[in-house]
Amino acid sequence: MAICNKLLNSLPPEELRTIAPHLEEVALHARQVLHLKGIPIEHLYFVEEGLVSVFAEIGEGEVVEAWLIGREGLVGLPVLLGGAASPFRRVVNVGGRALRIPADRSILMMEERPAFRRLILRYAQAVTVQSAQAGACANRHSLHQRLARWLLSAEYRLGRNELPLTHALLSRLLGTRRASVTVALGKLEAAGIIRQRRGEITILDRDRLEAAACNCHRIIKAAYDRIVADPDA
Amino acid sequence: MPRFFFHVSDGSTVFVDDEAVELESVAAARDYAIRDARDLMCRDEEGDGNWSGWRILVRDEDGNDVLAVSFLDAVRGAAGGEPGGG
Repeated sequence: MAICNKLLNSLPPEELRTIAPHLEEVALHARQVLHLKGIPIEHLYFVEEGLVSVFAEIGEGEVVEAWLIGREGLVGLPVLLGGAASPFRRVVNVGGRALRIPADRSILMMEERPAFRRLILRYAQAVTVQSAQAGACANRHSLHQRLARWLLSAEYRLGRNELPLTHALLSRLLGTRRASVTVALGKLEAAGIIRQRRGEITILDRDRLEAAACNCHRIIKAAYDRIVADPDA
Repeated sequence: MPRFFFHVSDGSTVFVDDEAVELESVAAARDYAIRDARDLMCRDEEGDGNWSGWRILVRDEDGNDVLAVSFLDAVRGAAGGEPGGG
């Protein structure tokens, strides 16, 4: 089985063999709802291709994307940390595919397989680092820095440098109006760092995009890279 | 509801909106454009604070000019906006 998901890929082979029979490959369609707020989670999804939005509620019936999950992670972490549900809705943003596992089977894996448990806890740590760092970043850093960070993050999570992200989505992720994102992206494009075609942003010069991003990008990425780098930590 | 496109011009470059927004009326579009202008001005970290020449150009789905809001008018108050573009 050729697997793209970075979490599954970092499991020792014998552990992967144990979990494989319980993994079902499913398609992910844009706008497909995977988890609803407060409803018990039935399946966890290890994303292979595509992006899933995690929506946070910010007003009466009003939600915005808080972050995006791709092949660096899994959808449904609360189940593995002891909760049945979560306050967030999770919806597919960019279609693709995933390997899904029933929630109760994943809980058994946590209880019975130490390598899987260590992996999930390191992943949870990476998500914690991301949450805290992103919060500090949003308070301090400029829109240009945060936009560059999100484009790099999306590339890492999607596994390709053509990003089907709308200005509307980016504006919600960044907490700004769409026009400000349009201007910021236009300036990156004028500088030759990205190219834009209808609905798709292509990163042309990753070095200069990294130079434009704040250091938060490296801090968050290092937390995710650490999951893979420490097999027995 | 009609859809409107909100392009941003700095006097020489136009940053194109190709996603559009559904709004109730031209009046709502003017309000939206004013908010866009104010957001851009208050977020400006690298610029020189010189907003003369900057405008929001509002067009309809057929590409016709609906109105334009100069950034300086957006600061001065609610009545900013010239109907029909220009």
